[in-house]
Formats: sequence, structure tokens, C-alpha cells
Amino acid sequence: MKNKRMKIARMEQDMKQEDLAKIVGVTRQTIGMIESGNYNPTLNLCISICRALNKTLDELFWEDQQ
Amino acid sequence: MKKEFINDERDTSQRRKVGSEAGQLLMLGLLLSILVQQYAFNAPFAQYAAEFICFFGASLYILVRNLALGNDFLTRREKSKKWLIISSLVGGLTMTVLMSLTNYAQYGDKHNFFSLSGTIVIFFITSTTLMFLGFSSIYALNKKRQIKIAKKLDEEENDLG
Repeated sequence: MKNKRMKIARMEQDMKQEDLAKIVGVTRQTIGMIESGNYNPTLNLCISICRALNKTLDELFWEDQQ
Repeated sequence: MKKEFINDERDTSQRRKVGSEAGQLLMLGLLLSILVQQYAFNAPFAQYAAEFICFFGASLYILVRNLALGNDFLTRREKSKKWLIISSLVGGLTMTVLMSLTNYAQYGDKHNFFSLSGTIVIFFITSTTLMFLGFSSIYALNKKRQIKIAKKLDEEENDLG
């Protein structure tokens, strides 16, 4: 499932995938794959992304089950 | 309450790690076997051909798979030029030592100090150049694939849907 909230949060911070990748310390491919829903990041990576985007884990990664 | 099945990531990751370590040990064993048979026992190629094919086949597989996936497996980010030079020198030096040992074992009685030194210098220059060309080609292919992936990511990044 695509992670649109992460993409929107990144765009709000005026960051490109490459910028976020550099801050977090991963490759751009990894960020792209998380946003497109093709890779499940570890908790550590989620926390780093949240810190870089000034968001909480809930705001970026929590999904309500219907 | 319905029990939800989730993948035990710790278990999976440790299983993969064990598999990876076993693979690395096997590769090291194959390489040692080739070197010992070739240099210590002076065995004919037919005797260690299976190990040779397995080792270089596995190495080729690792190379091709990483190239196809676009993994930055050769260099660590921005240190590419330094990495290329160091790898070429180390590879060239290793090849020089191996080729010099073989050469000395076969033609040692015909060499004097100058011819032996000259041979070693020629071996070093050719093997380092070959290593540099080889690594540069792999690096160029790796970069080409990464640029292709970056273009695809650009398209996805610009797609606001």
C-alpha cells in the first residue's frame, strides 16, 4: 500500500526523495520504495524518517483497521 | 478473537543471516581450495575445475544480481574514485604476487635479479591496469542502472496520485 502521508509530509518540508535519503542515511531507492509501498521499513528507519520530517510515527505510519 | 498471523521478522532475518554466513564461508573455502591446489599441490586445472566454476559462477551471479537491482555494492556513496584506485591497486598487487609465484616456480632457474624485477613490474602494471578497466566497467554499468532507477523514481515522485 502506498504511503501517501509520508510523501505529503516530505513535500510539505520541501524535500526531494534524495534530500530525505541523505538526512536519514539510506539510498533514494529505499525512500522511493517505502513511499510506493514496496518495502516495509524497520522501526529504527521509521523513527529516523519521522524525526527528519518532524512528524510522529502515528502521523506517518499508523493505519486504522476498518 | 481472530488470531492474526504476522511474519516473525527477527526469526526471518536471523535465518537469512545464517544462510548468508554459510554462503560466505563456502566461497572462502572454494577460493582456498583453488589456491591450495593450484599453488601448493601444483595440480592440473581439471582437478580443481569444479571449485573454479562454482566460485566464479557464484561471483558472477552476485555481480549480475546486484547490477540488476541497482544496488550501490561497489562503492560507498561519494568515495567512488578513491575506491576504484584502491581496489585496482589491491587487486593488481594480489594478481602480481600470484603470477610472480607461478612464473618463478616455472622459470626460476632462468631468471636473474633484473629479469625477475622487470617481470614483476610488468605483471604489476598490466594486472593493475586490467583491474582498473574491469572495475571501471562494472562501476559504469552500476551507475547506468542506478540512473535508470533514479529516472523511474523521478516519475513516481512527480506523480502526485
